[in-house]
Amino acid sequence: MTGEPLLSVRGLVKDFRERGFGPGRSTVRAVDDVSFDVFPGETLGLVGESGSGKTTIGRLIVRLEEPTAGQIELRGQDLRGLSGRRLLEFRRDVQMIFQNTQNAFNPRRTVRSVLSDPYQIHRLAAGADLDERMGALLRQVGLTPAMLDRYPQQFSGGQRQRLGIARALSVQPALVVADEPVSGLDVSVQAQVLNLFAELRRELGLAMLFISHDLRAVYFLCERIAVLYLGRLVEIGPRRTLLENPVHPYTRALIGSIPVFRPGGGFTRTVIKGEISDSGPVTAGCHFAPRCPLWREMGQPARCREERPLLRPAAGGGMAACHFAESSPPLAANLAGQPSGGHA
Amino acid sequence: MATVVLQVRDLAVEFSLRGSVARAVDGVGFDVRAGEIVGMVGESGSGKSVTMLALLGLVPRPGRIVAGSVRLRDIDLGTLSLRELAQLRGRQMALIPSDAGAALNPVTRIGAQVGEGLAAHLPDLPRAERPGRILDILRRVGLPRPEHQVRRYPHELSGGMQQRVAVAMGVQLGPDLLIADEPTTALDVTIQAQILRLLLDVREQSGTGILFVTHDMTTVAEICDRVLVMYAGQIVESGPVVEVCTAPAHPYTRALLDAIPPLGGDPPEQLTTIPGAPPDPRAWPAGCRFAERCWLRERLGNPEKCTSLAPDLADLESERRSRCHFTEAVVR
Amino acid sequence: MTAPAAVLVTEPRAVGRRRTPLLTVVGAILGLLVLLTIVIGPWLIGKDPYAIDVGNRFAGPSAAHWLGTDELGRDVASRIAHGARATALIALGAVALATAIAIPLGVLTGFLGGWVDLVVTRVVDLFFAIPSLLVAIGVVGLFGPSLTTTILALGLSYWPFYTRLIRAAVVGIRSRPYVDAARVLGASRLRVIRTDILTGLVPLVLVQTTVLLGFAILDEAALGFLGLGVQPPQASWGSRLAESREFILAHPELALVAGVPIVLAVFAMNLLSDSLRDRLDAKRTG
Repeated sequence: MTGEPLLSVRGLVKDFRERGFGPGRSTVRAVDDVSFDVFPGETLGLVGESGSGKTTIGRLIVRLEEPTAGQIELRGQDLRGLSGRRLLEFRRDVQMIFQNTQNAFNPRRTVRSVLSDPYQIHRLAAGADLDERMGALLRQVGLTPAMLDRYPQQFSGGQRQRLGIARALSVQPALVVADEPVSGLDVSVQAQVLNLFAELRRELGLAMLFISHDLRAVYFLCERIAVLYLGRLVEIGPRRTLLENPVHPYTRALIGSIPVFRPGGGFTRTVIKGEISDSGPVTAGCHFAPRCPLWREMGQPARCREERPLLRPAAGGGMAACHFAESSPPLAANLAGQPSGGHA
Repeated sequence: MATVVLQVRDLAVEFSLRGSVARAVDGVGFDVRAGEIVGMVGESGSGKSVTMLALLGLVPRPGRIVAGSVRLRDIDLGTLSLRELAQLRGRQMALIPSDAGAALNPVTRIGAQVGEGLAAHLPDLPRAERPGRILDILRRVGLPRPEHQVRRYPHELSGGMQQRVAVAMGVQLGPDLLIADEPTTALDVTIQAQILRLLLDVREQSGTGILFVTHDMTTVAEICDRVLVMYAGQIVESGPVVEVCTAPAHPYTRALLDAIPPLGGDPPEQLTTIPGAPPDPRAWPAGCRFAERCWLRERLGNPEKCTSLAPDLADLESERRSRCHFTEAVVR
Repeated sequence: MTAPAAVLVTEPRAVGRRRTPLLTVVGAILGLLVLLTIVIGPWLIGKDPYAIDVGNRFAGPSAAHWLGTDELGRDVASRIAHGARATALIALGAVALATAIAIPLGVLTGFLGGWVDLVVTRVVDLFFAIPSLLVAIGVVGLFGPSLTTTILALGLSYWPFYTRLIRAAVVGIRSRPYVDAARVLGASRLRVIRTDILTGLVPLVLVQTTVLLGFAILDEAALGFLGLGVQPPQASWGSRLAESREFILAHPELALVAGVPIVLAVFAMNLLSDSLRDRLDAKRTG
């Protein structure tokens, strides 16, 4: 990775206060000191399970939430306190694609009405020019201009996600945050939408932050992958390194619990004990320690409970936050025999 | 060969809507044997959910079963009254829902909820023995500290624990057949592994037959013995999992497998997709229902047979069946 | 355990429902009847509702007086038809007043949140805690009974709960992804309110309008019955009820004739609001 990063996140923290009044309300730290960069034209995958903070990070970057602490910089410019015209300019640079749900679009507005919003807000087009540009936008995502006067409910799940992509691309952003954009779609439709993402990236040179719990989708699309656990970044690295040579015990567990497609191979997933909620309020130390197989194997060293592990360079060009990363035994690569795709 | 616990023959379900009739399930037939896990795979609109509801006798209005038979061991479910069917559900046949959080009663404690099934189906069990039975079953499904959990309400449990409770309620009366409806789709991947492991344990311990309804081929490949692939209201391919997944005999199965993004190595530029969308259930096409989207038909130069003649689910070797005129060409 | 209805969601093409519209038809017919009474009733009957004929008190139904005459010999049918106009005016006025307060306040609190929400909502709660009849009586006591006062009294007793309803709906809409999407695209607050919040409130407001109209007709009658509503000799359904009260033992048929239109009109409003709700719900999910 060379050159200046497009997006630079440093020490990002987000606390949510519980609902209610007065003191004594506990706060939940959804994002805990997270730093990473996204370079121009690059796609970074953000993976993690529920409670990992991945969605919150996305919302912080598009300024739907205000960070509690830390910096978010776009082309070196700090986004904190951006308002008025500067904020509007930023909106043209950074866009978001939402998960495909019933409520991703207002059911009472036609596609024309929704898609004309960005052109009006940013005074990009009007009249016949507007119609032309909206038509071109729909064609770009594999739909037809004739669909402009339909309502969102009249589209299939895959088509609606194409609309979501069109909405985000309307202002020609440099960076797109995509939050679970292919979950809830059928397998064949998911493949179509992933292909569209790949195509748009190649054609438009878009940079993307691709947030998903689906490691297969992330692996297909993202050059680098970042793994989150309970609000913290535990490992980040190039996709092949991360998948074939994961260093952090949680990354290993996560990869191990994905079904390997090897018919006849039987049930090969690693089953790690416990759940995220089991770990309770860990203040110091490593969040994953209570479930960590390596921690148990090493005789439960106190350091894991007391000292927060920092991200540091690991073998293969990645970074991992584990005190004992070097002690992990090499992973038995059981990822062979994947379907290679293509009938030709 | 193990006994057949579920036998479905020529099942058809129709929905009448504003003058048009949609045959959502059209001539589905299969068996589930004791101790066997059968995967039913399909995308939205394939008819897998309606088939499942028909087995449970829960097809919602305006749908109705218009043909076929469903036998659970030696009982013909078509001859039962609604009340008898309700008795059967839970005792001989149980459902594990996709979203246990929504299926559990939010205002009843876990213990009482598990106990309801016992009280309804085993009225002779002495009251004093019930708490012990409840704790036993919760322990069996791996719920941590069950004596603590029985006093909690569903929302106080995580998604994974709720799903364990749902499994407990499903298996507590030792049913012959478990119907698992996308039981892991809503769960995190590390929790998914735990619940699948649990289903395998249940099968191991009690020899229950399991019908595993899902959209995910990779899960089918790792836990099922046989698989039924559904498309447009019909079974298009069935057979032992290993054969179907390694050498699919129907073009749709092949396309479905190829659409899975590969994990490892250098990713391809493009994933293989299935063009178009499934046909309208109100007007199924005359010939093969997959013909419009079929890569094989295109490669064979669009033979006329595909769009004029509906293919049968033909028997192949070793318990395999495929609904394609040109099966040999798929297998190669 | 029964199968959750949620499993149906995966196969939306195959399911759908068609509810029998019988009750809707009944509601529509009754509503039309009430509307006709208001619009052409007085003209059809063609009698002066204020013409006193002391010699012809408490007469039974006849060709001249379709529903007989009252304690002053006035034509009952005519008084009910004319009264319908006053009652309708009061109901519409009260609902309009409540809506005019509730929508801006509900949108403001629900959309902005924060301390504005906190303060205004507490004030609304305070008003909410006062029984609405007490509010109405207070207003009447302050301004003296009249048609305008009745509108004011009813409107002011409806707005607190209506505001809370609107606020709750706005909070629901505000957290939808399409609102987030609009914000990310740079839409101003006003724009979001116009394009997404207000359009989203339309079904709720439609349903609540019919519900409140029913309430208002009933409450106008209650105020009239207590002698706090429209004052005699002006005709309204409420004042008709009050007038007939004095003779309820000797001439119960007068009270009956006064009460039946109220019952029918309220029933019609309830049926219509129910079917409206069903239709709008079906539209949302379908």
